[in-house]
Amino acid sequence: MNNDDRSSDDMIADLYQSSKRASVADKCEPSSAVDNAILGMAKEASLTRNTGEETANVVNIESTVKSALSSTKRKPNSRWAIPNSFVACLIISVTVGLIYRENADYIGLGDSTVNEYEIPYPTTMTSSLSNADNKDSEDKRMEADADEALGVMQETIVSEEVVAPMMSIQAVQAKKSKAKPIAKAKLMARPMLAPRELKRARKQEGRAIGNVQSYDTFDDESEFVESLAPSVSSDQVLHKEVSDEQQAIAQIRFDRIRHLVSGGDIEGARAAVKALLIEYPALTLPSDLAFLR
Amino acid sequence: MDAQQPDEALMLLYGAGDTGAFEMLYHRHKGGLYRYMQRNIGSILDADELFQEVWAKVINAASGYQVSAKFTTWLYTIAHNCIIDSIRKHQHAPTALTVHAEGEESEINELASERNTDNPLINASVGQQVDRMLHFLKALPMDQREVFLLKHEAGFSVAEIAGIIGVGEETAKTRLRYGMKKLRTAMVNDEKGEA
Repeated sequence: MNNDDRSSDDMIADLYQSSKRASVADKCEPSSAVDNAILGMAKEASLTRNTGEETANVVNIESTVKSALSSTKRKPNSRWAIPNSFVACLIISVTVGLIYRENADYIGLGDSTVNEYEIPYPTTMTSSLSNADNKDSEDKRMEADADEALGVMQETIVSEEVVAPMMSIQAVQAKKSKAKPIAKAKLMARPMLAPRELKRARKQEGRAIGNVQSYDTFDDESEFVESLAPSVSSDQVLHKEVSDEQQAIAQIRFDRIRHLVSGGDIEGARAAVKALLIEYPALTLPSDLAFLR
Repeated sequence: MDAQQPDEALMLLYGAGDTGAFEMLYHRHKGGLYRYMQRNIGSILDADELFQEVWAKVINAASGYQVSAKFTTWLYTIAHNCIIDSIRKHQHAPTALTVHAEGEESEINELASERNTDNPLINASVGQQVDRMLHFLKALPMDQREVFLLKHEAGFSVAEIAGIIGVGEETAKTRLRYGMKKLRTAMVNDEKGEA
């Protein structure tokens, strides 16, 4: 850039500054309306800013409270409104049904017909009523059942004690005599007896003992055993059982006496034989114990 | 209120609620800003509208104003952005410079011929020269005209102009140089034609 250019630029700059001064002189500036508008806008903004600061805290508090309320108060979800109400109705109906069913008997609204497939539903009210009504009869029934069970157990024990040696005696005698298969068959076919029938048989046993023949009148033991069998046709099996029992008891006593004899206690053996004969006068002593009579 | 307070202090006072500070600030800068916008756009109606828009932005930003630069730099940056937005909105076609841009050689020859003669700008009256200069200013490309106005109307340095229009300093300097050259050439040619 030479000096002429620099002078020209300075000249242009001077001209522009002259234009600025001319524009001021010619009022080449924004109009008063524009000035008023801008200054009014500035004042209004200032006032709004000041009042806004004062109200800002109130607005903040209100917004905070609103946000807190909106967070706590949930908007109802319309999608789950119908399912929730349906579930609520279902629960209420089931509850009412159960209460009605529970109290149906108590309030007299229940069906008189008995449902065979009904599951027992324990309730305090019905159980207390039924307990009060049936307590006495149930106690009596339970006592009777206990007595009966006890009696069966006792009879079973007695019959087992008696029958086992008796069967062994019958086996030995059958081998000895090889006779009277009919009597043996009767013994083997002995039916089980009820406890009451067993009691009755015991009573008849005492009566039958008097009719039993003496042991000496028989040729061997098989005939004696057969004679112990009841001759009455109606109680044939029962009498046979009584004689078997008596023989079994006698056999046990004989074994004890033999044990005393083998031990050398002859006096004790004689006393036992004497007591046995007193207890069973019709009883016949075996040949090896006959000397003790 | 002290009339010698800097612009930044007045702006801070207005941000604190002092409307008198804003009035002082407004009267201090309204003429230059209005001329800058009017001569940059060329239309008085658009200049009024943009002028109000610029000051409205200043008012709205007063509460959060922080002194990070000169107030005038900030003010003319807002004005520049408003002008750019307005041009984009209304598709203002920048007026083509009627002076044909010659090549470097012809320009040198022209300058040589100017050197051999007396400067015609000196011979014309001041009023006429101002009118011609403003006429040729309108014919400058917008980027050069804007740099010229920021330089001679608002008095910014090249660095400040570069910051306001968002270009590099060299670019701003080049634009200013080309603008001055075109103005000078146009005025010389016009003076020769009249002569």
